[in-house]
Amino acid sequence: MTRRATSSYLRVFIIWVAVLGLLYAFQQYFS
Amino acid sequence: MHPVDWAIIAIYLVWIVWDGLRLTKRSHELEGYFLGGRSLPWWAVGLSVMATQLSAITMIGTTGQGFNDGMRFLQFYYALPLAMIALSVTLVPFFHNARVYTAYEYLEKRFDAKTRAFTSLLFLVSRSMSLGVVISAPAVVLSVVIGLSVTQTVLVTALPTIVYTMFGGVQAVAWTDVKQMVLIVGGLLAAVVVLIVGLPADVSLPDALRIAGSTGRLQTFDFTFDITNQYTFWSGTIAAFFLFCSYFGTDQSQVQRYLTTPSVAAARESLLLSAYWKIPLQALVLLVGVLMFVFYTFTPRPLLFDARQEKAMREGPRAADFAALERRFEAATASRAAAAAVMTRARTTGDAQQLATAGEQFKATEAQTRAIRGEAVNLVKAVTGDANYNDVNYVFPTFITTRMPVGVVGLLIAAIFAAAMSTIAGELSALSTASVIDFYRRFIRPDASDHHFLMVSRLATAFWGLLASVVAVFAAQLGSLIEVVNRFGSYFYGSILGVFILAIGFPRATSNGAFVGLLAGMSSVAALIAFTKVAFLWHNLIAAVAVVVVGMIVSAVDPFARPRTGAGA
Repeated sequence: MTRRATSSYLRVFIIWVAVLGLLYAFQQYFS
Repeated sequence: MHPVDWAIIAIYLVWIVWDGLRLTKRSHELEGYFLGGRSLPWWAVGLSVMATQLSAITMIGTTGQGFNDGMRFLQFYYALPLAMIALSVTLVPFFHNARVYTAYEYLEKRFDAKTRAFTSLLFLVSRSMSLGVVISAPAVVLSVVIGLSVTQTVLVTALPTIVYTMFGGVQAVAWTDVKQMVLIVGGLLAAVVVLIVGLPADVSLPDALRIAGSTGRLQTFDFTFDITNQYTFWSGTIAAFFLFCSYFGTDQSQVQRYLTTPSVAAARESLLLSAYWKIPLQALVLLVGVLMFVFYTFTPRPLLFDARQEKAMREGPRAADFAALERRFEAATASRAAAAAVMTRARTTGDAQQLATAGEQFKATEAQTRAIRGEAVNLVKAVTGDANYNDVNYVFPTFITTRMPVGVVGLLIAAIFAAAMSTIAGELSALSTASVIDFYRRFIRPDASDHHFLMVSRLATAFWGLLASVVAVFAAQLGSLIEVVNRFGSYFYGSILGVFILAIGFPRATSNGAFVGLLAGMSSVAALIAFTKVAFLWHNLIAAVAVVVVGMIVSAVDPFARPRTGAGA
């Protein structure tokens, strides 16, 4: 794996965690 | 529908065919026709992949699910970004470096011709059937909302798509997908705006979301571990991971798309576009459904969204029973609207006591409304004898045609057409590629000219399109479309993924091991369906594990094992 590919995967993972976190906050706030 | 809306739909259909046909001149040899000369930009391929997945069933079925059940279906997609990373590391470089046309072609390089032919055949059978269901979705919509027959609507959807896919090849598919994706997202955003504007003046968007939230419709996380339930966090992250690896990694309709990119890095970027945008896009689709629920809380709505069936019930043998249900439904929805209005006012004034009381009343009247709707659906089932009847797929189309302004109706119906056509085109191209490359060129005419293969490929595209159209006419009789489509593939997806795991991850796996493992995986899915209530998402994981375990056991005792030096590619 190149460094560029690794940083792409890391970015996807971080955004994935952030999106799930936002969705959880959304659920808790409006329920 | 207003003539302006008809005109918008007609302009869309003519324009998309013309746009696709323009690319015919770039498809004069086989690699151009099937792989776009391996020169398409990653962003166009990424959008094309997303457009193929976002079918008319998503537009109709998923918005209906959002209306009925809320956003819990979103959990189904949670594993997708992780699956994209796993595929970018593993299968994508193998396929790209092997310079193959189909995913199954790689299996012959690694194992043997029978494993390739069998997996390709499974793809052809399951995909041609599910494509029929994909075509029937807009047919179901439009036959009710604009008065065409199902067969006419199937032809209006499928024929233009067959024409531009047949002549323009994968380049026409990819570039029309990009434009169709813009139209689909634009249509969904327009629906959100109309829904928000359509709320009562004293109900803001946060108020609307709180009303939906009080019924559990904004629940996007269910941490209970239940393998009979598809829509839990664990099903969506563990079991769905295997489904997405299988779908994106081994399904020709997806693999073919990233083989059109010039490099492994571009193929990877095209896949990662889905990793970023798939969950937000599905959330947008489900949000449309949730907002429709709030909209119809304050606006009178029919007992059944399926207008044709509602009319039949009013005039049928159980008309008196249906009329009684309609009266009870009207009273229940009026009470529900009143409770929702009190909730909103109480929140504005900060009266906690009133808010709690109105909230309880809203939940009680919502349960009552659901129960009466359930009774109405059961009455339809009893009258028609259709045990699968459900009107959930009619909610969004009915909202479009009865509540949207002139012009936006045409735009949204065109967006549903676009969703259907982009999916059909991608699948047709993949079906044509697999049948010509894996069967015709491999077994029937290996030495024919490029020109000959190009002609056969175009005929194959037309054949699969017409076959899927015939299936579509019958599939329109089926009930909940979304589940049906996902089930078709689930019989095979996990098993095919298992074979690719053996091919790439286990150098000692033999061709007989892979083939027997594949049969064992499919048998395990058949047994799960026959004897258990395990949710279909988990079938993928269990089948993949069965293929690998049985495949390795058979490989260990295989008397015809040939020594291998590596994993192929």
